Amino acid sequence: MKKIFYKSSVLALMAGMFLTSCDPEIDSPAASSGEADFSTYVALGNSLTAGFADGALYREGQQASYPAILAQQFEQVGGSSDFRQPLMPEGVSVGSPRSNPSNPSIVEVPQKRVLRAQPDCRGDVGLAPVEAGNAAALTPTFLGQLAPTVQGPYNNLGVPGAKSFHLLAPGYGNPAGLMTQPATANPFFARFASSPNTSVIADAMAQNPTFFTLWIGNNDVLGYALAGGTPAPTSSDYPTNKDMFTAYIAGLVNQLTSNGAKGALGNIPDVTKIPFFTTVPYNALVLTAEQAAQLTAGYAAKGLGHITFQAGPNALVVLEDGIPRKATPTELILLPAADLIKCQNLGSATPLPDQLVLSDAELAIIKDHTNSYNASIKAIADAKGLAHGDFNAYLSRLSTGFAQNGVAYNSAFVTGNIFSLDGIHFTPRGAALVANEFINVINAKYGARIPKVDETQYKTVALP
Amino acid sequence: MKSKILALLGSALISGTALAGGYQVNLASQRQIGMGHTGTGLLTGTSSIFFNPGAMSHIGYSGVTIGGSALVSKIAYSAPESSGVTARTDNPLGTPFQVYGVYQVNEKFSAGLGVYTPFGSTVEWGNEWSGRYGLNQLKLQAIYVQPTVSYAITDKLGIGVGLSYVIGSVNLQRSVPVQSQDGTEGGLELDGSAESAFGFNAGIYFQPTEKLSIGVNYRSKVDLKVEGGDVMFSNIPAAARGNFPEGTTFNAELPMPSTLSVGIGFKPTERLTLAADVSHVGWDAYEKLRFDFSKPVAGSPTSEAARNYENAFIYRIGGEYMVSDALALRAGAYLDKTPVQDGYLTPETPDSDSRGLSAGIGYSVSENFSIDASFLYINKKERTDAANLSNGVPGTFKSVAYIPGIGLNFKF
Repeated sequence: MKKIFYKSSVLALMAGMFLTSCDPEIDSPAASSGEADFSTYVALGNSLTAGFADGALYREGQQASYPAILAQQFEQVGGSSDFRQPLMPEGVSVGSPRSNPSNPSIVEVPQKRVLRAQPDCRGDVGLAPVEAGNAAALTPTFLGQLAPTVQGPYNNLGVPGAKSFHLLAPGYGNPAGLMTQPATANPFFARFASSPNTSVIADAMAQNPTFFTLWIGNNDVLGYALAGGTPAPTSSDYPTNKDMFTAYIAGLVNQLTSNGAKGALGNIPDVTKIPFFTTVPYNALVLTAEQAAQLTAGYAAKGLGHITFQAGPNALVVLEDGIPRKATPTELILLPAADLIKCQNLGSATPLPDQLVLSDAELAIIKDHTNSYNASIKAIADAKGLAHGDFNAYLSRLSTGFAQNGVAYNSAFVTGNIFSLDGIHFTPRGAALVANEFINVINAKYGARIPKVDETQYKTVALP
Repeated sequence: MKSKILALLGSALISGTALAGGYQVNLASQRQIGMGHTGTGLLTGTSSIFFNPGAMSHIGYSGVTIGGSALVSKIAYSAPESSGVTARTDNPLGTPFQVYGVYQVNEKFSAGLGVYTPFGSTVEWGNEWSGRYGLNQLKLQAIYVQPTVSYAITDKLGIGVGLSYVIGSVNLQRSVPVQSQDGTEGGLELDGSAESAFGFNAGIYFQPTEKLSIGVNYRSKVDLKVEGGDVMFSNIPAAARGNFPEGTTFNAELPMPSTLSVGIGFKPTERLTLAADVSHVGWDAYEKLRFDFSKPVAGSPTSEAARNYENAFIYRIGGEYMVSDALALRAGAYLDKTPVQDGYLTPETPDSDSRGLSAGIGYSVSENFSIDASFLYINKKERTDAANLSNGVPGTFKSVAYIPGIGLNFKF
């Protein structure tokens, strides 16, 4: 008996040693950089690159920007662990400058949006994205409070609001240019420009990058879309001239590749597929029979007998080019119209203003420019041997929706998990998925094996 | 010693991580584990209650066996296009057990009772890995209580049948992809006991010569049904609570598939026994995992994921050599083909073809008391799957298990 006990304890001991040393392993090909050198990575772009989210630039969004996530993955293939971003101070969020509604001469910046349950204009309590606090006047003092919390040079050179040509413009970060009419500088670049007269591309080249991502051009067409397609061809908000756009991108890429750097270009999503333009349906006007009869009679009295209504959902009445008419199913209503329809009854007796509607003609202009820009981006990427991220196709995939690791993703506002509370910019989860799209094309182009990031570790829209 | 082991059995009735194909756990006898879990065509002692009730009337004595295994299982996971292992299970020790008692009424007729755990699964991935919305942890238990009778028609031929009374329970936890302001994620827990269910276990044993024996055994399918199980939510943000109503219950059903086995035993010499078994497991009974909720959860009154298991074979060989009258050495091996088709891999049972290697010793302390010890090593083939048909978690899984076990045999 004793002997058996001895034997079994030896057996148990051996088994114990065996167990700890015998965890199952999975042989995956090792991470590798392929033909690319990730030691100095710079990211150029606009708000998407900067990590702008929920209608504002703030620290958590920056920390989850797709360039920050890419840099973290690049670390496993020789990238630097010191990827610098012009981080905002803790607790401060700054949105895009706008005119103060009650005093248009004052330029103010709103805070980020958060979801709150609160009564709307009709007293119905519901979840709504609201600004977290009061907007601040954009003064030099306020700007001073937004100084980055880390020293440059900055690897992430994303500037919210930037168009293609802005990246080439000297003085785009000059504080003196903020107050001119029109402004020649951008407060988001003024925060971190290395000198008043530098340009984004100059600050990038000063770091002698070995690898870059350039994702620019959204604002070249988005400004027009956000204004409801109202800007005239002479306006600075009209889409950038197609040939000029090609020249700007070529100019940027020529400089970026002048030292032999490799990189990836991102193309432009179809802006009309983002929630800002797809959340409010064209037929959001729901009427009772009585209301329909009243409205029909009202328009008939104005000599607009062709505008009629019926019980149930009706196309919104919009004012396009000065003429009231019913919206068509292919036209898009901008997100801010939601509150105006609900609270001020716009879209019925009073039409929705032109700047809240994208007509078919305006959508065609957007599509034409987007297609042209994307053709240029692809041609330049191919000519220079650069990776090409097709975010236009990605957004199309999103608009039909897909599931990954048990989570449904689509371009729905709030619940789609991709877009933050401004309906335009990404959640951290959305940024992680974009980073993986970039990794896909970089791996394919340069024969690299950069590991994908676990997107589930990044937040979606936080609920109260 | 006896009471200590009994206490251990009473406290931990959790069977092991999906060990064999699917969630079958083939650990029914310490002697037979040592021999690659063959036994359909052998006189396996009291464990014939499980392996082949037809053989029970031929064992020639009354006796009791109690045994149990310590099941250490580990699964590694590598996400698609990652570098190396990105998650590992932290499975608790599984303790499948078996108790058999046989009473020889007369030379022809025996009656017995077996309690064993042929199905079960315990997998614990935690709530941080990338597949957490699919699974945090699963505990599936099934305990079979089987009164059995056996009749020796001749001294070469025996038949037997047992009625299986089956109890079971399931506990499944997963993360819910809704986040609070502070970043905590919601959780979902399904917990329920199965209604008692019945099945049967029948066998024929035929020993044409001293050296050769053959057996056929069929264990029927048993459907375990949970009715009115609890659905519990945790950390759901207030804004989303309407989607995850308190007090929801669920119904679900899980098949414990049928198993048909044919086995052969061969004794070339007095001291050496060789055995081979082939089993066919009716896994095609497991078509889907469906939960019906009493109130809609996340907007849906049901949650259904396809499984579409296919029937699978298990091939086993084993041998026992009596070194002396008291000491037996055993060894065996088996190949257990996976029932999980491509596209249907899940983190509950990230199954693939599994290879088992076993060794064992038996020692007779006295005429009436012997001890069996076994060690089984299971290595499942590394498997990469898109899991696109099962709502599973895509990636590569690799499982191994180490299972030492001990059993005590008393003869009267």
